[in-house]
Order: sequence, then C-alpha cells, then structure tokens
Amino acid sequence: MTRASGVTAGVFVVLGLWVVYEAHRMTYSTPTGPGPGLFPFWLGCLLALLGLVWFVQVLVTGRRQAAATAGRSEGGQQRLWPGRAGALRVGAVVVALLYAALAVEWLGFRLTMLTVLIALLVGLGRQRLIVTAIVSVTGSFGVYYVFTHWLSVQLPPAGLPWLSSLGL
Amino acid sequence: MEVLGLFGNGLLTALQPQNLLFAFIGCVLGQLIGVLPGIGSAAAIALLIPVTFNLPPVPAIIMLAGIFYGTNYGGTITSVLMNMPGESASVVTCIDGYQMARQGRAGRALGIAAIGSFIGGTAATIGLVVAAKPLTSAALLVGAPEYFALMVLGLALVVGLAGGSLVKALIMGILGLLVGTVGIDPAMGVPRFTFGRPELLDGLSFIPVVIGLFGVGEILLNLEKKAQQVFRTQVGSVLPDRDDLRRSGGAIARGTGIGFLLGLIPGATSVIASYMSYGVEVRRASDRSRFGRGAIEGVAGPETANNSFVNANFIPLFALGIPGTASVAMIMGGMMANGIIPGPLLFRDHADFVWTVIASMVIGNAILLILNLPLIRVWTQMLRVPYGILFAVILEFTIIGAYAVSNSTFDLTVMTVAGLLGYLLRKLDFPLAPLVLTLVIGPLMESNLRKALEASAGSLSTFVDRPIALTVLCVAGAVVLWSVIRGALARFRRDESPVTPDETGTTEVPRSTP
Repeated sequence: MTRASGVTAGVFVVLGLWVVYEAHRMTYSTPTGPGPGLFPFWLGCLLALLGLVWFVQVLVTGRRQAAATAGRSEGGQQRLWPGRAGALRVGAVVVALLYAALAVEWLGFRLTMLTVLIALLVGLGRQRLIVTAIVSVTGSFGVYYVFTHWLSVQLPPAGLPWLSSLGL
Repeated sequence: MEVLGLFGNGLLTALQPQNLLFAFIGCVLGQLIGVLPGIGSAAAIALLIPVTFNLPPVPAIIMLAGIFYGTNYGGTITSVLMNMPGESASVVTCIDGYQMARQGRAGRALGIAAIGSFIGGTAATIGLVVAAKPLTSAALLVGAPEYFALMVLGLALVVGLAGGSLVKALIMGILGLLVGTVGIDPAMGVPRFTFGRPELLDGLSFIPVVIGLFGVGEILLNLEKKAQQVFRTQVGSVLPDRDDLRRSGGAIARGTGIGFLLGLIPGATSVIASYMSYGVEVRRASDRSRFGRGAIEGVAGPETANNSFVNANFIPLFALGIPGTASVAMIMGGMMANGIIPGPLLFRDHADFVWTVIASMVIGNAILLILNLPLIRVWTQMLRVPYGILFAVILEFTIIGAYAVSNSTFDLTVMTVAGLLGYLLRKLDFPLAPLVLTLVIGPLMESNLRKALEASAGSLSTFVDRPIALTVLCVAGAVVLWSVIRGALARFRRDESPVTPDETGTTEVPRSTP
C-alpha cells in the first residue's frame, strides 16, 4: 500500500498547490478586511504542506519496512485493489449510478429505477426472477408512489413525450 | 426551576401527535438502519434529510435525532446474534454478546442492552437539561473570534482524539473546508472553484457528498468483499433474571458516566466510550476470565456507554455549534437547512425548538425500549433479508436522497464521485469524520474568521486580545501537540520492537465511522 499512499500524498500536494494558485488569482484582502482568496489560500498551503509531510512519512516507513523485510519473501504489502471479480462488482455499481444520473430525466424515476434494480438484482445480487420482479416493481413504482404522494418528495416523471403520455 | 419549566413545556410540545409520530418514525428508521449492516447513522440521516424539507423544523429534527440514537439500539442486534456489528459503536458488544447468544442467552443480552441503553440515554438527556442554563449564560460572552476559535478546537479534537494518523485526519479536515469554499463567496459575490458550471454557484450540497462518502462508499466496500451472512440464532427470553440485573447494575451506572463525559468532548467517538466501559468492567471484575465467554456486564456497560455518549453529544452541538461526530454534523446540517443555526445563541433565540427536541429524546428512548423488548423478534426477521437484495434497495435510497435535495441530476453525479472517493479513502485508511465535520462547519468557520478580521481591520491580534478566544486556541494547539507527541512516542515504541511486515505507517488503529 506504500506506493498507493505515496501517490495519494503527491495528489494532495498538487491539489494544494493548485488551490494556492487559484486563490492567488482571487482577491486576498480588501480595504474593509479579508477577501475571498484568504481562506482558500491558507487552506491550499496547509494541504500542500500536509501532503508533503505524509509523503515523507510514507517514504521513511517504506524504507524501514523494506529493510526489515529484506531477504524475506514478498507478501507483506496490504492489498489495496480488489481482484477482478471485486473490481467488476464495484464498477457495475458505479455504472448503474451514472446511468441513473443520465437516464432519470428522460425515462423518469420509475423506469430508471426499474431497469437499475433489475440489472443489480440479477447481475450482482444473483436473485431469482420472481424476487427480482417483486423487488424492482415495488422499488420503482411503489417507492415513487410513497415518496410523491405520502412524503411530498418530488421525484422526476419521464421527460420523453411518448413516455409522459403513458403516465410515466 | 426555570429549566424544569422550559423542559416541561418542551415535553408538552414533544407529546403533540405530530411530534410523537415523527419521534416514532425516526426511532423505527434508526432501529432498522442499525439492524441492517451496510449503512451507518451518518449516511442514514443524510439520506432522509430531504424528507424533512417539507416538515416544520421541530418534527424534522426530532426525526433525525431519533434516527441517530435509534441506530445505536439497533446496532446491538447484529452484534449479539451474528457477531457482526450493525454500528461501529457495537463492535465491543460482539465480544460477550455473541458468546451469550451461543449459550442460548441472546434474548437476555439484547434485553440488558436495551435497558442499559434506555438508562444511559435518558440520564444523558437529564445531564443536557442541567447543563443548558449555564451554557446559555456563557453564550453571551461569545463573538465571532470566539466562535471561530471554538470551531478550530472542535476540529482539533476530532482529528486529535480519534486515534490513527494525525496527518491524514488533518488532510481530511482541510479537504472538507476546501469543498465548503466551492460556490459564490458570500461577502463579495465572487465565484470560487466553480469551473464555470452554474450548478456549482450555490456550492456543493453536503447531502449528496455525505451520501456518497458513507452510503455508496460502504456499499462498494461490501460488494468488493462480497460479504454475506445468514442469521439462524434463536433469541429466547429477553428479560434478564435477578442475577443478570445484579451483575449489570454497576456496569450500567459506570457506563452512563463514561458515555456522558466522553459525549461532551467533540472528537471522541462512541467506540471509545464503549471500549472504555468494557475495559473498566474487566478491570473491576473479581473473575476476569468470565469476560469473552458471555459476561453480561460486558454487554450492559458498553451498550449503556454508547447510548449515553450519543445523547450527551448534543451538548456541544446545541451549546457551541460544534458537531462532535459525523452523524451529529448531519443533524447540524438538517438544522441549518431548516434555518436554525446551532451554537451559543440557540437556547436564547430558539428556546422552544431546542427544549422540545431535548424532551423528545426522553420519549424516543422510551419508544426504543418498547421496540427492543417486546418487539425484538420483529427486528431479527430483518436479518433474513439477503445482502444481494439489501444493497440494491440501499442504493435506490441513496439515489432518492441525493436527487431530492435540489431535484438535480448533477447531485447524482456528485454522489457517485463522492462514493468512489469515499471507497478509495477508506481503503487508504483515511478517516471520513473530519471531512464531514468541516464540510458542514466550513462556511460558518470562514464567515466568522472574516467577521473577526473585518472588526480588527485585518489584524490577527483580535484572537490574542480576547481571553476566551486565546484560551480556546491554546487548548486546540495543545490537543494537536499532544497528538503529535503521542504519535511520536508510539513510533518510538514500535522502533524498539521488531518490525512487522504490515507496518507501513499507513496501517492504523481501526477507526470508527460515527
């Protein structure tokens, strides 16, 4: 995990420096007091500094570990990334969420959730068809009804005219 | 006497049907979320904040508070029955609770946990009532510099006391503050870090970010491991016998005190309270070998402590405007969304609101006692729902929660990105609590800093000239310094002992997600 930690520390240093640069372009102070750039400027400085401190920590402890495990077999490193199957499951959820973000205003909440739930329950949950059907219909049409009628939470109807004409 | 009168009025308002209903809904939802592994109280509160937008502030916050302390009750059930904590605070309950379940005493473990939780939660609420008056008087001494200093102290305590890497916790705190600066600068109307996107002009809404970090991040972690477990244990009688009560009485009393005192300190977590209570019980026991083999004190003490902690946690929120944990930060966000700013003036400006919420906690704890004693078998049925269904349902609620904040699909994208970020940060052992805390208090912190500097014409001497601000900042500095020294000592001790392969400086003490 040391390499990943080092890279992450580097990302924070770069992010901090970028914030400093952006804050520098804002007004730092005005005649009446501090400007919009003051707070981000110092936050950026702190972030870059802390990223650097962490990078050094990772470097030092990594060397110490390397010295301690010299001559021994590999395998002491904690595994950061999931295996292929795990990565596919994580990726599938992310794709499902992005699909929901893109589709919800076109297909509406009910159809979007229906398709998302069917895909997740069959693909990842490995559920039987009858269970999938019950959960996805309840989770889409049932939940829509509860939230819009009982809880007064607005969920989007379909944006496509032909779906809208079907009452979706 | 005046306090009792105010509390009495609050109790009458809390007993009105609408408030009672939302206390009940909050407790049931909290209990349900606590029972189901895979979603914590912070994410649950974030998910349900949009539901409260159409409610008046009092029932809205009563419901959110009910979810918060309800999760602690519910988290015990999976700890005892499945050796799997539904909430991080219930980790220690697994040690003896699960052993009791294996001996056929699951019901008694759950029963004493519910009784202890009720006593701890109610006692801490009484403590909150007692502390309210002096805190109201102290509130008048607080101006912008003191308020800023208090927030710095809150941040220092959260990063300093939670254990683990100080640097990582500070990075998370800074990151939260930076996310809070996105949007139009409130004083001069200048857009900051908006990349020309109109959706960012109002800033990043904290709800989709938190739902992503906690809710989606947790689901991604669970799915990666594909962890699934099926419940088969029998519950048995939930009423403790005379011997159980005799053994648990002292543990409950001590747990109440420990939880209450730790709840006053922002940054301490309910995990610390429950572990400390367990440690005290082990040390006091005449026969320590009973612990780890089903000692009822090992369930009663920690469960009491974590509920006492949760209710006491409202004291720094109400009095100082400092949320001690991520879940309390969520409640603070809910209050702010309803136009109520927690902090020194809350008891003066919103007395009716705050006393009703406090009184509702007593009612909520009574509701949870009922839900956990006679109705315990209903909750155990929930554990038969396979995770293969559960994760999809939770994911649906994350979508609703993020979308409903401002009816924007942009927030769904924000949630997804935050989910991936939360997943990666957890894999790298970054604590998320400081990020959420600063995300919520960041804009207040900046506005108080700027007010203080405007009043002093830009001079930092305003923080030195005002004794309260100076003292608070010194305490904050001392907390950070102490954490640095503690970390250095721990490293020194490690250097003395042989190095183990996983000692990379990035592996930390397990940290809770309160």
